Amino acid sequence: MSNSMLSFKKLSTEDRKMLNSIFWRSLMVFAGPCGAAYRQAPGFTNSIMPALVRYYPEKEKLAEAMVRHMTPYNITQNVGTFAMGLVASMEKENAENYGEYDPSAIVSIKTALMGPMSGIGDSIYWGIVRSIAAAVGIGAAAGGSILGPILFLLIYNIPGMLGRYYLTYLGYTMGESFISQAFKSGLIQILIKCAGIIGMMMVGYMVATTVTFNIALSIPMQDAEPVLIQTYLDQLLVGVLPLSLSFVCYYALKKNVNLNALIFIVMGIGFVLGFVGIC
Amino acid sequence: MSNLTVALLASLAYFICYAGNWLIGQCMIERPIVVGWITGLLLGDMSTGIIIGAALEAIYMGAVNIGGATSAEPVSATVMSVTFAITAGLTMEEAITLAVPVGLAFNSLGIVFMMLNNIFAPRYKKVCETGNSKGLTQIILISWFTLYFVRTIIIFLCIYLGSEAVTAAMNSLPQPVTNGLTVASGMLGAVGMAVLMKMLITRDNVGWLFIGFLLSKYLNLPAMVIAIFAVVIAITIGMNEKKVHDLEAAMEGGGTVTKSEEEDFFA
Repeated sequence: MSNSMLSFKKLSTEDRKMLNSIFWRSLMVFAGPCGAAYRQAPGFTNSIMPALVRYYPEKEKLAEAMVRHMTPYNITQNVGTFAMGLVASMEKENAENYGEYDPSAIVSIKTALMGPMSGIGDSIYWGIVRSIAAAVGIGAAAGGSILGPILFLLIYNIPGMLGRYYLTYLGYTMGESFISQAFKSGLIQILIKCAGIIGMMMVGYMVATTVTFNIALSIPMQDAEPVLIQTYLDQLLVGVLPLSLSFVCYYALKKNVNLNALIFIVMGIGFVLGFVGIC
Repeated sequence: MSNLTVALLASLAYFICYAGNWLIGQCMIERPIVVGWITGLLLGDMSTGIIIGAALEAIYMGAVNIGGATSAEPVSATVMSVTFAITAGLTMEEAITLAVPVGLAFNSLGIVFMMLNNIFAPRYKKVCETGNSKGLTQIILISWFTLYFVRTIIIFLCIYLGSEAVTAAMNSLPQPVTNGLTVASGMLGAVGMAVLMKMLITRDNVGWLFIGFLLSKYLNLPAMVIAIFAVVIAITIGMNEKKVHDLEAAMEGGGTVTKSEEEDFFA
């Protein structure tokens, strides 16, 4: 990391201006998908436009570059700026060695990055940062406190924006070999593994606090008050039923039960159990 | 507040959250916990909005836009259930169970909206072929506005036309039905958690779910404290993994492990 920080310092003012502009424009990368065929291509081209305009002052070359990027694009927003920075550096190469450089490499590298980058981005940002943000937010929202949504937004967006910003610079300075090296060195895998621990603990917390139902049935006793079945269950493990239900749902999803179907099944079962008075 | 004002304010909340989210880098203002807050704020009952939003957040934990495919549309679900909870006096449980079918219905509508977007494809192609950089930004903004504005109109109509019917129906619910809705809403959180588990679970880390569960159930620790525990544990394990990893690399390469200053300090 220290190497890349050094190379950040070497960037010229114009480079920085361009990268900051890419960073800001990347915020609307998924705002207007112009049809199924292009799948977010307009947003990507619009994001790297500062680089294209800078390196291709000639209208024909600019049009050529814009047409080149009319290919489907989709990377988790907060890490996708890495691909944008990288593409900017490759477009620069192409402009400097126009005619000798093979521009089709730009598109194929961008496309090749989509899988691995989204894999990292989805598990870090969607799986983990969002789990923590939601768990803290839901906890703080109890009683209707405004802290809930505010903490949720801050905990998600501060790491989100930092990632988005630094990865723009990193993509521009580190080049295409960076991702494959990071994967080969095994550090990314360690990072994902550790992040998974945090995510799982937060899921455990949320299972405990957000899945709530009890058994309402009781066992009649001779000469005494009837005993609730729930009392016995609580002696075994408080919250054993919600925990089990969560694992059953997980198993169903793993067996490729459709998510919408699962939502309706669980809702139906819950309704019936509540209607007849079992829960 | 008249029916019309309510419908207008609720659809405004919908547009701000849903359209705004995609204009400002998917900053999560489309998540139920935020949508509930904004809708409640506009309709004059913020705390109800936040409470329902937080409950729906747990249910829709799994409903995120990954790879362009959504499973449910939580924004319309949250706006409608918060609106009807505030104006028609629905209880939280009733509002939550109402949200589920709404979210699913609007999700299937979403496919129609996506097809609508194809009308912009020829303009986009032309803009690129002529190297019109400003035109590209314009067409993105136009397609963004059109897409979310049409959705907003539909939400507006649903609330404007549906609120009386919902109020009447919900006021006449018998006790067993209300109880059924309560249990169903309590169980639905499990589905959201299952989606997260599917994303995160490995054989090595499944135990940590139980730790988080137990810390909450038996020690009643708040989320922030559990998050701090989790971070400390993850860093400790990560440092160990790194050490093992470096050793393995050194053994493969036949070289020696370089000791860092940090290790000396803690030795």
